[in-house]
Amino acid sequence: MHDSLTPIGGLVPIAEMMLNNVFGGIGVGLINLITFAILTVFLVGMMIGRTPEFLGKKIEAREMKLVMIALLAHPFSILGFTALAAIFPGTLQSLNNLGPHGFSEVLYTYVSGTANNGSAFAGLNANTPFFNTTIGFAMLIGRYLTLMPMLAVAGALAAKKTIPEGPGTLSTSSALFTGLLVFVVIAVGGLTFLPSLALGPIAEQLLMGAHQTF
Amino acid sequence: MRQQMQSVRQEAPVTAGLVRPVLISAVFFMVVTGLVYPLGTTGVSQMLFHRQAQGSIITEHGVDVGSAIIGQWFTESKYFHPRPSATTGTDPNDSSKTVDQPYNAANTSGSNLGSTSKKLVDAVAGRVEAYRKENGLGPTDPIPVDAVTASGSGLDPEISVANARIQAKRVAAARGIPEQQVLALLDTHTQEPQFGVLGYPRLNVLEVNLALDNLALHTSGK
Repeated sequence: MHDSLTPIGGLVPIAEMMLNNVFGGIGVGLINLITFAILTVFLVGMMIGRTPEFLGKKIEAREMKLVMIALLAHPFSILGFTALAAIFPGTLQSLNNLGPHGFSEVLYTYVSGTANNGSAFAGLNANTPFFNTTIGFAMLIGRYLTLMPMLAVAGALAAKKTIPEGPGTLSTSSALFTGLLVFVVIAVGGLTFLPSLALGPIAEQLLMGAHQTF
Repeated sequence: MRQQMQSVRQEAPVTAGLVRPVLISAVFFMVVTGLVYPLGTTGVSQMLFHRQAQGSIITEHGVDVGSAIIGQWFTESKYFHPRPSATTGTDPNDSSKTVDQPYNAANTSGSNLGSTSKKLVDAVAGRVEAYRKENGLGPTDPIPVDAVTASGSGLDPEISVANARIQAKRVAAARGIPEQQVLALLDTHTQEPQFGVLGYPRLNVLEVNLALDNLALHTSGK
């Protein structure tokens, strides 16, 4: 049913699941927002030349490595599997729509699997051994490779001593921090995923405006 | 280091005391969320909304003829036609193939065709031609969009008022009754938008077709 949405209409759930902060599986919203908050604190700390600290705990290299694993697992799974499906010869038989919309079908499948959402562009026949296996892996990577590093970060932060708030600490409850956080989410998510979105929904929207059919 | 070892030794009694509360809360939530809540909501809905909870079944002369919320496929020219439907079913001759089966309530689906699909453009063009021929419209007369597009469920029970009024001429001619009578029947069965603002005025196809048959029954009985 989502297959019949207009191109931009289909882009919205894809983009929201790619950001992984809006909807997805149970619990991914909170843990991903914390991931992005730590990343924002780190970036701001680097910009102003102070050691980043989140909720009173210092963020060091070990935590940042784990945060980056959690952040990169999501696009790695989505883009990697979509690229694999795009060059796999059997994919064409599974598509219900030709042209950029077919690419959107495959992209949506892996976005939904990685974000643990479960919806699909229903026209795609994903009941083939290739899709069953790769979407299964996407689900596992999207669930555990984003949760486990953050649990490790939580454990590492819990063992640290709390630093008392001083005049130089960045307040994570101010409007400035919220704005920075939103910007980091959109910038990181957008830069990572805009090329794939340009190949799928955006190309289809432009071609639809030019009255081209496939 | 010493603190870690002490906490490991103290862990065993703490976890042993958790087993009973965990089991009790598991059983409690299984009973509450699995039995009490579903039975409760079922009971309340059967009491407060009995007809809707049973499926909004429409009964005619003691026989269940369908549901007010599931569409049916009418093809005869003396009946109002519903929207096109993209549902499929298994081929009766070959169980491994699927064949088009409009308003198949066991397999509700849309066409899943995108906005740039040539298949969709051709299908709609074909439906437009058929609708114009069926209802005696000229080649440039506007057609209501719900008459040539399939719904997402494939089971839409309603049509727009414009769609019904165009079909009224054909239905009146097929039944040999004046068109004014059919239009008056449509007016009595038109459902207004909910709360005055949600949706469009619409007609339930099954309801209207049953009313037409009753009309024929009563007038022929006289």
